[in-house]
Amino acid sequence: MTSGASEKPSDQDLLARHVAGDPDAFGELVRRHRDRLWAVALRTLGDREEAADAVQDALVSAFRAAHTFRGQSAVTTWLHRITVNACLDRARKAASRRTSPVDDTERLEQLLEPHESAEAPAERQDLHRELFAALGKLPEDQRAALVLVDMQGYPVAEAARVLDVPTGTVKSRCARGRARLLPLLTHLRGDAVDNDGLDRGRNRTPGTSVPPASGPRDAGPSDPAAVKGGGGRA
Amino acid sequence: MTTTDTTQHPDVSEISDLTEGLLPPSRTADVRAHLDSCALCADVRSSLEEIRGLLGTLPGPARMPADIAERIDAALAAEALLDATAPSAAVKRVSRETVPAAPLPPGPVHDDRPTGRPRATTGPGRERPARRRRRTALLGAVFGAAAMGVSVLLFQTIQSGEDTTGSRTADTAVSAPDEGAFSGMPVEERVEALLATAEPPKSARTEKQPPSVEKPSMMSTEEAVTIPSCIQAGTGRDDQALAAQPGTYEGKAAYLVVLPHTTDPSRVQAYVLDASCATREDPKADVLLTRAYPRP
Repeated sequence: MTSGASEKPSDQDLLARHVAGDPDAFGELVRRHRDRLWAVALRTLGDREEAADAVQDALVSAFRAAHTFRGQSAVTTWLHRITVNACLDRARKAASRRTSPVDDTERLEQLLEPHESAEAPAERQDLHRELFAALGKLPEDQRAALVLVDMQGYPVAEAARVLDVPTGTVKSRCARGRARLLPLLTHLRGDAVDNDGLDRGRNRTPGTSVPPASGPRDAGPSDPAAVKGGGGRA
Repeated sequence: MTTTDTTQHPDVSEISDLTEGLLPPSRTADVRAHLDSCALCADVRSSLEEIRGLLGTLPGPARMPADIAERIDAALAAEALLDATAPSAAVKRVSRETVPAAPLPPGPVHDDRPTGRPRATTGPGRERPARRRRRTALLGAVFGAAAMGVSVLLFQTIQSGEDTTGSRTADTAVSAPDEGAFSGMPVEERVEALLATAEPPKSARTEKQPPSVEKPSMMSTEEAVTIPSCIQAGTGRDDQALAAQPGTYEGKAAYLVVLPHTTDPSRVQAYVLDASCATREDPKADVLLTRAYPRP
């Protein structure tokens, strides 16, 4: 970085150098992108070890398959695609082993920044935990779309390239994923808007209360309605 | 509730679709009109927006943890080493002379791995492909000449009519021009070597092998062979592979997968599949070559 502007080859240059035999090029590429790939993998899989395995598998196969890269997408898109595919493979396998890839508090803790546990208000941490847990119960396709678009802030078009689906599909997966997360938010808000507004049948009379799918968890002491500044919003 | 008409509440998913502009125009107008008059559904819409905002503000990992970064670096370094020492590397990598294999022979590298990435062996399927490749390299280094001798001997004895190519002799088995090379070695010999590492030595070979050197590094037979799902799909079969190995075939990244023969227990069916499916989201790998070989 300090040795001049010419020291910043493009991603594509680096990949080409790697294919040509430059032993350092791929490592540089990895250093550039690994943090983002890690964030995507960790959030998609919800498990540190699984995410580490997925990123490693992805980067090793990218290393091997570099000569197949045709430059039709950006290198970073290609790396993301391989990583997300590795994650989805693992998520599907995990799903066949247990009901949810995110199913215990300890695993959820990994997803939070270390310093957050000290700084953030308890209610906020609870909310985050609940959200991660709910994300873990989404179908993998929806989770991956939400991770890329809503959490990581990638443009829908870029997420579509990474997932190799049309943009409409990405939007639809995001929309369905958010809809599925909605009962969680209502639950956290308390009973100001009860569940019937969310899980109701098509023409159910408003006011027919359906008990929440899950009772309050470790959110116990604090007033859940305080999380979002009161549930009485109109 | 001002919705006094017969309009039904739209599904949450429909409201969510509306915010993404996914509804057909006529339905969009209906749902919009409903939202304008129904506080409950308008609240659903704002809650959906809130979900989106919450997801965007979730605390996340800023950096890849150092231990994981190191472990991945180590995996890539091992991969680079394999590339430099694999037979095909001579063609593909011009840097072969500048990255001599001598200072880091396969054996010591294998021993070094625990310190480099202590957790690398804990995950399911972790690192198997690389280890198999390394093992094969080790196999070659330790008793390469002996193995060649054995395989030629075996082919001569077994080949009496069983080989699908028919006309091959022990001599052509070395060059095998008719079916190409997998990672620089004729496919049949690759299969042979793979099965030798995946299975306990058969009685016919024991006298020729130095088991004391080879055995400790061998894959135990109960260790399941894992291959990418698209590769497995490419074989069109779902039974457990006897052995598998990533490598190159005709200049492309490929997988060699050895499965039991479907009808003849004395033979195996080998598949060479295009490995690019793993990076292209192709659910099914192309089969580049398939052959039946006698079991060693």
